[in-house]
Amino acid sequence: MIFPKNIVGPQFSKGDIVTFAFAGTELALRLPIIPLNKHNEDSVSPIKDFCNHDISTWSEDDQGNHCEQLASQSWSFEDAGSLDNIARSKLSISLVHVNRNKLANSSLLKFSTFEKLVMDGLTYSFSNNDSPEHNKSRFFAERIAQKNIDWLRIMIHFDLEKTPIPTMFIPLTQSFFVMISLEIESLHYAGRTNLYSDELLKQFEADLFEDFLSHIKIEYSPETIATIESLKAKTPA
Amino acid sequence: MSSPSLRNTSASYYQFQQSLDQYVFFSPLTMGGASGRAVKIHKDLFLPFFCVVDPNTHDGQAIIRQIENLRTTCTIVRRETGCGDTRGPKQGDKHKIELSKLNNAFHQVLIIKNLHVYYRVSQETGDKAPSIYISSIRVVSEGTSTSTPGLYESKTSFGSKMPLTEKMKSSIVDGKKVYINGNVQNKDQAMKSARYITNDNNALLFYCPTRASDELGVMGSSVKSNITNSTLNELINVFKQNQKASRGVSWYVEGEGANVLAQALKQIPEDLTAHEFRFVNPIANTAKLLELLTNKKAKLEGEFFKYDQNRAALIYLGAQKDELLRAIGKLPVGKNYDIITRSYIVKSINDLSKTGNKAVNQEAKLASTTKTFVQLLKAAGAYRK
Repeated sequence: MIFPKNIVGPQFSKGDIVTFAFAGTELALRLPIIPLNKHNEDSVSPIKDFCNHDISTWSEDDQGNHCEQLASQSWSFEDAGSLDNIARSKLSISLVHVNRNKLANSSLLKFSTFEKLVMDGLTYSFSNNDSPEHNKSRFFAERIAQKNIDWLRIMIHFDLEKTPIPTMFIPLTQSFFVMISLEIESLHYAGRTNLYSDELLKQFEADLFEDFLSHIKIEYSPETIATIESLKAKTPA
Repeated sequence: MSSPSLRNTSASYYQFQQSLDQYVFFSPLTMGGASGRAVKIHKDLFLPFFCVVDPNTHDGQAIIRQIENLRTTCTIVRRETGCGDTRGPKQGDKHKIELSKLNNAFHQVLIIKNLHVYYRVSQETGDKAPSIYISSIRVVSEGTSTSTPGLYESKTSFGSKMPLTEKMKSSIVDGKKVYINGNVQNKDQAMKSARYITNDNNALLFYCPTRASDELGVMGSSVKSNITNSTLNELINVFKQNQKASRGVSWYVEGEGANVLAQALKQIPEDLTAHEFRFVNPIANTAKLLELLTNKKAKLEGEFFKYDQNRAALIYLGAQKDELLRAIGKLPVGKNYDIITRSYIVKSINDLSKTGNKAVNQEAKLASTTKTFVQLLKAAGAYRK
């Protein structure tokens, strides 16, 4: 990806390929190489194989779903001219195992179930007493067409002091999904103005996010694809 | 030992000439000759530089490279003739201002990341060509401006192990652990350290933007910005609201945050009997702060002082060891376990200041060896941890 103006920072296309295995699915990510710095964070889950993993020890979110952080990375983008750190970015990749009670007999491999579950979950966490339809527009929910099963892109207003940030929900197996978010915040030094406007950084955030997603590879096993197809067939047109 | 403080940026040409023997070559690349102008730096800057620049990091290397690049500076060398000492007793104020303006005209500044480097280009006795003389540095930290100062709590949300940091609606912190952050770029990082330092996932954060801790800090300025004032007001308000907290309040103060606390305490007339304080890597005049807290009858019990591998804190500790131990000696006599932990704290401060002094001793070497500033900075790096 070509960064706008004079911004320099880690490139996803030069990142490390990290794979995570699930029953019937393999997820490959391209994680950026973070320069060693005081405020940077670069942590990747040491667990790579979740096929027969015991999730009972994981921490839970506010709705009883077990979560694990696949990766959490944080770094600064610089201006090539002045070498000032102009923006702080945080990439967070969270693996969620959905509570079986919530799933009943359904599966995340069916898009409509997956979408409903995510929207319900978000409405619970960020309640606003709105109708489900209104919530969809509040979160700017967008269905992203993919080869086997579609993804769900949402703008989440995690922090009311800031603007919503892009988050992608990707179904992996019957009960696992992954949640990826990227946030960019403008950095300021006292007495100096940031050459990069908030609008430009917001656009940069969106472009960077798309760039990261474009490097994600998901391999479904033939059995998983068969399941996805059979669930699709059940959906009334 | 002198504490790592700032050098006077408006030092006159006369003062500069008097201190020529205090300047050393910056790095092997900047010794002058074939590779460009020589770059020299005042040796008193060793400790402040040590605290800010770590040659092992990406940022530290960028800073060193940029300073080395000063050797290619092509500014016209103006002949400084000197315009008198601004500290003269017979000069009027107006005259002094004019003089310092004249002096400042010869100062140039290089801004790289969080560091301001003040230098002049001059040819002095012994210089084959005009050289760069770095006389002072200043630190300005960066931070996000999106978050307002004040109390924050964590809140879990859908699908995330990492809780969100959310502003609290009330300022009642009775029975809670509250953490005041040092210099970090945003409040999420601050909240992360809050949970780590207090060992409590429900700890609250009092968020100080870097602007506030910079301005109130040891290298700070006398002017306070709006952000600093609102940070102080918020903190004073928290103390006022919780003055009679029945279950008590435990404060954990890290790094530069200690300066914000010290400033706020000055504006609280009441006693703080319900409040307990702990310090982690304080980068402040800790001895004075401890005295202030003792006067306000605040609790300093158990292991109220913790050092956790922070080079700047170590240097400050080394610099004010004696005052600090004196301040601890003035604390009310402890009971039971307190007696043991206090002697432990005194012992650890003694030991730590010895380690700090090893780094400090590298500074002394600057005068005696032929090694350059950066070479010794790397040698002193062994004492960073």
